[in-house]
Amino acid sequence: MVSRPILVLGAERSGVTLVSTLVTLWGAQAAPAPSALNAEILAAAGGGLWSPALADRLAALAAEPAWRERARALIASLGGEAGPWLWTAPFPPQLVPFWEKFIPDPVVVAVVRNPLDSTRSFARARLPEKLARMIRLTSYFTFRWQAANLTLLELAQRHPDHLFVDYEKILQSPVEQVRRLGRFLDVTTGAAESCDERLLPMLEAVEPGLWHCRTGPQFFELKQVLEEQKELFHYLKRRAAHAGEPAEPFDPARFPIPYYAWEYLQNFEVYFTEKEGAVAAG
Amino acid sequence: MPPGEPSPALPCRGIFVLGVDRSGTSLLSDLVCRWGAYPGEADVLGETDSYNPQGYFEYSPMQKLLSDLTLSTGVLEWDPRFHSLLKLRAHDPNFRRQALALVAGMEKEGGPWLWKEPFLCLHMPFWEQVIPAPVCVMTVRNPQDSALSFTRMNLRSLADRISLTSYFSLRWQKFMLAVLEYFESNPEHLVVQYEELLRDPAGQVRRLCRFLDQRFGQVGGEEERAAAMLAAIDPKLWRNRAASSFFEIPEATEAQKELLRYLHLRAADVRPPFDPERYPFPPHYQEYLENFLLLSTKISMSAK
Repeated sequence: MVSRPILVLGAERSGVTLVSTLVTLWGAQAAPAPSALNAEILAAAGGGLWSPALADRLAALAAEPAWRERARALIASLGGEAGPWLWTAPFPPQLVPFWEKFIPDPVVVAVVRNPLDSTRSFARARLPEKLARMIRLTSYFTFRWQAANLTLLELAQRHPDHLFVDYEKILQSPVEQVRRLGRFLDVTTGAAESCDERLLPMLEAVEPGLWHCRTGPQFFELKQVLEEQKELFHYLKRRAAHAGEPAEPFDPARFPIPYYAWEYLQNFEVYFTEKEGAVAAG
Repeated sequence: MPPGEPSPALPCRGIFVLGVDRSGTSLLSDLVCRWGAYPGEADVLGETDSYNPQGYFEYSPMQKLLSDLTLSTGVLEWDPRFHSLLKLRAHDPNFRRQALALVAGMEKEGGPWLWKEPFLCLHMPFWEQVIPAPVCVMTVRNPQDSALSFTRMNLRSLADRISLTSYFSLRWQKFMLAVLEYFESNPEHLVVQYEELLRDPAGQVRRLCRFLDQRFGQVGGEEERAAAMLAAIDPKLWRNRAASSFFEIPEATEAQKELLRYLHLRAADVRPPFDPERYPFPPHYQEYLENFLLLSTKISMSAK
């Protein structure tokens, strides 16, 4: 097998952990996400994930010799004879424009989930229990979801070896979806043996009882969500249902993030930073 | 009668100074007081500070009632149901009695009296059913400048880390649309552009003075009143001025820019028909306005 990097990415609370588990059970070696270095990169790029200029700043940073050297050294330590290696959460998709300069041929697995389900899961994961029940975060989280998924679609434009997987479909039809993922990985990494023997442990990792937040088609009825976001979710579902090249090319102009959204994202990041800082400080 | 004193010979009627926070409502209140309106006892008007060195003119018993009214609705001011719930409160004998008692207290002095509080903008559905229509004066200021001032005042510890332009533009839009809707049924109002007040104080003071004189049947002495009012305007207090035009910043929606253009026309005494559908809110507005409360509370707590 080729020692090729596999990136399993998605918006937060989208099932990235489940899909990463499947990819490791298929045979990839999980490499720890470079969280400390990512934090440094982010700080050097201006400090926050939520800026429309972030991708350009990251690309510029990747051209600087000091950063290039550090990134290359890290990537070199991850390759070798062990076969494909995996980077996944906690790895914000928005940082890919930096890293893809050093991993020019990644295999990309993008996980898609209903943003309203992810919103509820996000609130439970990031907020105190009582607050999570009271607060409305649908608009906020959907902007986060939109930013992450637009980055992934752009990444997929640049890297032909990509697969969009639908979290709900994995839980509804695990056999079919796990086989689809396994075969995609076999082909893109040039695996000598078929994954069929590893399908059973992969299937055993799919636990439908973990599917806690299910809102069905409610997302498409929400007034606080933009039509472009609903359209983006439809588009991602179609991409995840499609086996080969997309029949419908990605056009980012169809799914613009309104400029006013960045402020909401940036300000709530301050809230999370302050809150988590306070928790860490005891 | 010296300027600044209550005018017992004039009709006993309220003047409401309306406008979003940090848009010059305190300055305008000062002018209206100097014209001759009674703002309430000095000890319940809030103390001066560096943000409002000439005073806030906020009558705290009225503010308390507004707060109780809001609490009684069970929703925040940003909720679309707030308007109709507040209307219902006008039929609540307890709230009605409290409101009328407050007004009676203001009328004790005889003559014009003044209330100023930004949240009055959103509470007019209550007041319009409880008291005779007040004379209204509303300020309009570049929302970006108000946002800067609001951030420095309310989130001082974070002023260099966060921007509230988009948040404040939503807040401003909500307040302005509520007032414009109310003005449709109350023609006795004047819109004053804050920037014009500081650029052309004499002209704007004369305009305000004449407007109030006409509403209250004040005859003679305009020059003296205007001079006393003019003395309140200190252009040095125009501290927060954004480098770029509101009409060019991407944080503001097209509807908000259009609304500011419309308000500038109203401040120039041009009254094109008001159509609220021309100024729609973006879909996230209610959520962001509500969550800001959480954000600011938590951040203030952690800063202590």
